[in-house]
Amino acid sequence: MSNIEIGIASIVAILLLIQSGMHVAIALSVVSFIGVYLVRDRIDIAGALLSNAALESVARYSFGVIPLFVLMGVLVGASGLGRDVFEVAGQLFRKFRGGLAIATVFANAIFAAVNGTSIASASVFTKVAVPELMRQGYSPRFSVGVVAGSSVLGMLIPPSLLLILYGIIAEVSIGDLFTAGIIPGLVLAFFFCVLIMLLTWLAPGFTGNPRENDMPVLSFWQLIWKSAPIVLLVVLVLGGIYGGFFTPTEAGGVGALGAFIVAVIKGRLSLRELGRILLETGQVTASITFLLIAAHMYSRLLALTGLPGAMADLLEVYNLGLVAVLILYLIAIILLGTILDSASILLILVPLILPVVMPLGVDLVWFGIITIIAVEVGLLTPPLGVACFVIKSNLEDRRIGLTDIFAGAGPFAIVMVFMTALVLAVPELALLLVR
Amino acid sequence: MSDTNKIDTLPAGPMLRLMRKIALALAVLGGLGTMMIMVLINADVIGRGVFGTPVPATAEMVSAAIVTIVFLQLPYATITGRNVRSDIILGRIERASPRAGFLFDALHHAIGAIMLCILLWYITPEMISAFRDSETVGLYHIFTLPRGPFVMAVVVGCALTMVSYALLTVLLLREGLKPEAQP
Repeated sequence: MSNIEIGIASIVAILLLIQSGMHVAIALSVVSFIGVYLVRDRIDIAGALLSNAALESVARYSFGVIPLFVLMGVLVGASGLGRDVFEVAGQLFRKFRGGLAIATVFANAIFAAVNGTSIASASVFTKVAVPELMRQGYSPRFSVGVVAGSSVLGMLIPPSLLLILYGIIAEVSIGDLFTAGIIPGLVLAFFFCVLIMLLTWLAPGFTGNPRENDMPVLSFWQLIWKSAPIVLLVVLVLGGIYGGFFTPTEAGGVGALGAFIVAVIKGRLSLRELGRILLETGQVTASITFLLIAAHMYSRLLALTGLPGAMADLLEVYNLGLVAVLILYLIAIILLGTILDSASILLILVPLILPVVMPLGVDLVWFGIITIIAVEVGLLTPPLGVACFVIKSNLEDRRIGLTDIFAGAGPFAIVMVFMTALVLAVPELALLLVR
Repeated sequence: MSDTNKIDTLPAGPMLRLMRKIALALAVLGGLGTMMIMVLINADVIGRGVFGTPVPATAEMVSAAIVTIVFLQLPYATITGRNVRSDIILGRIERASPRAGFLFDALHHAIGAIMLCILLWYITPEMISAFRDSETVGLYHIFTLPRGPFVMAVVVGCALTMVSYALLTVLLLREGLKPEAQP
């Protein structure tokens, strides 16, 4: 086998192994180990690759962001801030058509600014928002759809674990990525609100007929008490990064401490609960970082086979322009999104495509944002849609099936595809704040 | 990512319970490490911003600690079945034949055990040389710590992850080979 063929075979092998249910990190490292051995024909080089990836690839200051932002997210969830912001938003959008659904999107957008994973958003709002939406007369399908759709904001509006992953793989400033995610995140939230208004107006059969919002009216001081902690945390984390007071890694540390103090003040932090929070943080951190270590091995293998370079040459022969390459790439992401989880797609595709698009003079920050939006479509599409799975596992109402959740999330996934195209066409959406 | 966690349905024998306890203890250590990083970074930010004196070698300490923390937490993530995977096909096999599901999953865990074993084989010499040559982390002449203990934590975490995979392989295999329960 030529090196290029080994490269192609390795991608096929990884896809097959992941589909078969092998742990993603194990699949990536097994294939990388065997691949490097085949390319170099020396087992000790393959072994050196392993030990180097395990010991050195994550020994960087910027990796501190992962446990710290995860810790912050878990603390914020445990403090009940998700419910607070949902109640406040419900009050703000009381007068609108589809008000409570819009409030869910709004609350998700705010919650996203203190939390880095869509998983956390989806699980918190399934418990908080879905029963309330259904009580107001929204159809079960639409209620879960709104939560699934708006949970993707969690990974687009900074802090975001996916943007951190991309930043680490592509070696792009995480601070710039965080800045670039803000406008697309807000625009997407706005589109979701428009979608909700249109659907409740045009397709009441799908959305159900919401009554007047009858949630208890909050007094002025209750509003302040419920919104102050989350607003302060957002200002602390994002203000600190954009004000230049600290780096995103340090912001993770400051934000985690802030969330810790909020949890203590709200009386949510018994010793037992703290233990649970630390373990939860550890499980997420360990599984994500294990993936990154394995992805590091795999990207080294790809570089050794020369496959990315060969791909670039091939595309040059066909004389495809940048836009054509990007459209093909985004279609590949969305298709892979139906069968793979977000992190795996990033880990497999980004090392492969970067050497191809870099010579074409692509802005890697903008490229990262369109990549993330396209990857997130996969959270909502069957058969593997992680956000929908999380909602299913958090639902107390067993009558709502996975099919309903996917159907409800469908319109939101379509809006996201549109959003990907929009940021592709108008790079300023991502780059306006960065420059 | 999986929500129907087959690992939870395994009969909790003494070995599995012991392994969970050990992994839990390491994970708590790792969690405390995360808290320490948090405190260190805040001390650095406040020291720098308010008093104009940052904590020396913060970045180097965090970098060295992060690998250690991850490997301390990996056994627990593994023994509780939290490593990222896709379970669509696995779920189908399981619905068709629960025994085949267990056997197939046992195969996946066996490969995991072998992979961790290979990794262990190649990082153990790193630990030995770190101790032998008294390697250090931090900033030379300002603040340094020996590198050995950090690498040792990685080796220990790696070894226990391997044991977790191996133990789960055996348990899954045993479930798969059990005679089918009469309905």
